[in-house]
Amino acid sequence: MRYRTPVIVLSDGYLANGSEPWRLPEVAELPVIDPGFATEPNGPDGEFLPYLRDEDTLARPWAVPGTAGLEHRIGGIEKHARTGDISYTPDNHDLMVRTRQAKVDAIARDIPELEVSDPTGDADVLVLGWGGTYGSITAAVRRIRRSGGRVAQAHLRHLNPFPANLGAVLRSYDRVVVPEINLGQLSLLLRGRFLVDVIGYNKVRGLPFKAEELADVLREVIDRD
Amino acid sequence: MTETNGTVPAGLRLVPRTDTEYRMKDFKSDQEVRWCPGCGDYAILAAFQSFLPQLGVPRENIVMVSGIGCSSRFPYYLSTYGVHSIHGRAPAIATGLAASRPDLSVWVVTGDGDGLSIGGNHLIHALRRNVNINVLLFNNRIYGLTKGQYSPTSEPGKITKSSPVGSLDHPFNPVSLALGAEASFVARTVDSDRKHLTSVLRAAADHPGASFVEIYQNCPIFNDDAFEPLKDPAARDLRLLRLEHGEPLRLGPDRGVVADGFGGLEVVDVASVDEDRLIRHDAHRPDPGYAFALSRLDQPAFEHVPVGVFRDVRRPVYDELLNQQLDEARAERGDGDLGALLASGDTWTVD
Repeated sequence: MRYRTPVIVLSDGYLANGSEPWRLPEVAELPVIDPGFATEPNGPDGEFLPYLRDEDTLARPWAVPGTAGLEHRIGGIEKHARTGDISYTPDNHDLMVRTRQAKVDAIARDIPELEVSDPTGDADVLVLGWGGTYGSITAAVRRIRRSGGRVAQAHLRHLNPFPANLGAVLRSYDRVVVPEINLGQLSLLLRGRFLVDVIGYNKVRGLPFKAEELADVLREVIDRD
Repeated sequence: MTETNGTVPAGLRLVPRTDTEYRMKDFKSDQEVRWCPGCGDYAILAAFQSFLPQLGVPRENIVMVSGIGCSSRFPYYLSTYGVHSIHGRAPAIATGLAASRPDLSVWVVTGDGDGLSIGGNHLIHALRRNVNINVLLFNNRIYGLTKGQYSPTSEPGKITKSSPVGSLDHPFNPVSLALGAEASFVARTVDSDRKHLTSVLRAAADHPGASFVEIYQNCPIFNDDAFEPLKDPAARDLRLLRLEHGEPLRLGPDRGVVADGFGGLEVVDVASVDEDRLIRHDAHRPDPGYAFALSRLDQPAFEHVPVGVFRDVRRPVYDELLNQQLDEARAERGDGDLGALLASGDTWTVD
């Protein structure tokens, strides 16, 4: 709401079909969602500029029907960066595309940094996952550590934008393993964004990874020279 | 029915009134209108802009919702609130808006492609629910924005870029479709007849619940003169069946409409029947059968085309029912408690 942007929550079969105890939130402690609708003109001449952005968040003001004096039109055709008038100007379009990207990128400020579990602090290999593979990866990591092996683990909760420290985390390990139940979608993003040659482990059998199977994969990578 | 509560039309009962004496120019936005020269949309826009002051509703309480297509640029050219929304989904967005904000006059602008092809399902369900919205479907019987492919209302055999040897599709009759979808208000009008168009808009706005208005609209570039038989001054009065509630159904001096004996209607030479066999138009019949029969009169094409209000009946309005249900539930059970609801299932406390 703060950034005025849609959020897509990725779910998976594990969440839909699994069950586990889950602590219910205290309703009173949930943050209040306040859209902060515009009620006054925001232009220098008393006009309403529906595309004038908040300097900090780059979010646009929202004025809802019924608010006198703020009548405006929104829609999919490119708009002038300030007035919201339909604009076919090439430079304006370029500016708008960059602005929209900058808005999403800046949301990284509100995303917690990626936490890495690396108990010995000297692991060479990082295993990075996302989504429903958390359980399998954690079990595999536990097996490695129990048998004296060293491996670091991190799990992404946000995919766009990524946490601000993701690039630094990736570069601080010699090798990064990315297990995914697909043909390497996160691997592709990490390689494209950070030029890090991650090692993908991919299977699409409609079944979760097995702990021992992943542990074998990790051991093989750890034992590489 | 165009009953009014004092001076307030039933369809606008929950919308605030204004004393502001609006004029047509108060509803024109400052955007450059971008339709092809000669497009029928210009006439509809001008009629609509000059009609809006009649509503007596504050400008900020009017919302235009459109989908995608030439007609869907309509909201940009009005100085009300407006959204040029998702292809075919304007009825869904308008449903949400009308249901949550009964204080708004909500208008959907769509076309034969947007409303009957990709958005066909949204349209029929909005009509079935009888949400308090007004749907204007500009029917030019062609895909104009994408440069001239056949649409769901194009006639069979139509030669277009996507049907070089003729379209095989049987078209929708939008009025029949709306009636079949349980619409409580269904009308048809023509872009070039401003007076008739305005009277139909007025009746649609007055109607509580969903109003469906088909507007025959000429596309001069990709389907020019599609409705010419209805516009030629010499012939149009013999072809247009102007529906007036309570008046006999007549086309010109010589022809009229009678029951065909099978639940349908037929056009006959008036001299061949008793004058009292002519059907008197009744837009308020609860059963849609008669209005449907009227909608099927248009055969052969353009020989006799009913225009005006086919059907205008009262049926519970979705947004009023919804808000009433919420109020009653609150009165009976008190305000909801989210925390109690969450804890009402299989929950336990870990100390």
